[in-house]
Amino acid sequence: MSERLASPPAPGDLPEPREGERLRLEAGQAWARIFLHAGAHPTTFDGFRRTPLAKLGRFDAFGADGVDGVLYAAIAHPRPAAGTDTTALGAFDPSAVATCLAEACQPLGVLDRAAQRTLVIAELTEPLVVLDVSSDWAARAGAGVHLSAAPRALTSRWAAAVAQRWGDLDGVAAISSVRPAGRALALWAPRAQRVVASSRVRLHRGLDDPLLHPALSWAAAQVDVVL
Amino acid sequence: MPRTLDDALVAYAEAAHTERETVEAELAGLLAELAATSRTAAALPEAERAALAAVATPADPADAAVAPSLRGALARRRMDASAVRLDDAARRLGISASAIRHVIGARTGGGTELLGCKDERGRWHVHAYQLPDAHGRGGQPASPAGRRAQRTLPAGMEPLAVAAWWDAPNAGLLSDEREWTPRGWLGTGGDPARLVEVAAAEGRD
Repeated sequence: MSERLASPPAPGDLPEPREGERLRLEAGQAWARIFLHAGAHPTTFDGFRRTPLAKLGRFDAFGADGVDGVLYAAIAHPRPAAGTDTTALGAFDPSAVATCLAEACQPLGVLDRAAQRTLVIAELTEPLVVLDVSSDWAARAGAGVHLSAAPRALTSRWAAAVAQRWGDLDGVAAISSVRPAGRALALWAPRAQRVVASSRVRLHRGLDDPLLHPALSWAAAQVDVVL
Repeated sequence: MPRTLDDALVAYAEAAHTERETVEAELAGLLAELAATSRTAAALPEAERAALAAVATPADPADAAVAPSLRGALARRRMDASAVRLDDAARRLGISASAIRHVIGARTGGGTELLGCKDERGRWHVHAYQLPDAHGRGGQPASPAGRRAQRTLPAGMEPLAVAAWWDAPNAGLLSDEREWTPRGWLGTGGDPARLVEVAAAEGRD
């Protein structure tokens, strides 16, 4: 395996995912996200970013097969499908909140107290299907572990190739680049938009809410973020 | 490992280059806050506790950690304590104190190009991370290009986060397959316009 991530192959040359490499997130799957609810670019719990950024997101697949938005979130254990042997699951880290916090505060390691951020925890009411790029698929594709670490301009070209190749994928699940134990989701609009919007919100509070302090400070200590 | 609270306070103060009394005062304040928070945190509705549990995050006051808030409080205090008097900053920058007064503020936004804090007599001090050292090195944030970038950061961004931003590798500043810090980018002749673009992209999800 190369020590660097190469350019993605043509979409048609990407290897077909095998069983289990397409991760089906079932109805009831909890997901978490920290987002800015105020400021120059406020958004909502289900708001997709509609423009590529100078500081690129890792899996911004803009322009590929109609993708016109991206939303980053985190999951803990995927909810197993009915009949699944749950003992087989266990590779996913707990605490999606710690993953979200690490992602929101990277690379500074400081929670900007002036930024008005909200934590949302929601539950899918319909399934989503994402490519698990931490699976063996990445090895067969020649990407290895680099999709979580290589420069984002390059990993976003891989994301675009994946989105172009499989129009039925809602996004990707990946190792969080700032918290390797955590699992991040990148979801694409318009594909995932309706399902994300139909999620059942179970917690929606500003990070400055004292009721969140125990959870937030615990998560901050996990990932070495200064509050 | 320190065995007593007193040992721990001394060890922390030494590591943080501050006074034991400072750490003690901060810790006392934080513990008082935490006690108050613990009482209110217990009021988190059961359904929301379950939501946190569903993403494997504890929600009980007993799980709260003091260190992240303590480190933040100390870092903010240290930053203010090491800020530089206006006339000293003006001399280091080769501009007038009056010129600094026109562009200084406690948080980013509006016309704020330099960040600082006021002392108990209401006099401005400039946060040191922006200024060149005694050898004239490292003053990129206070250079004309640096001030343009700083003015472009999200309104209200606090100095501790801004100071960290200058010294953190930035995915938007890519050259030779390396992510540069904003300080390093300007210091090695990187395009100032690119830095302003990157600053403008902060504060987006």
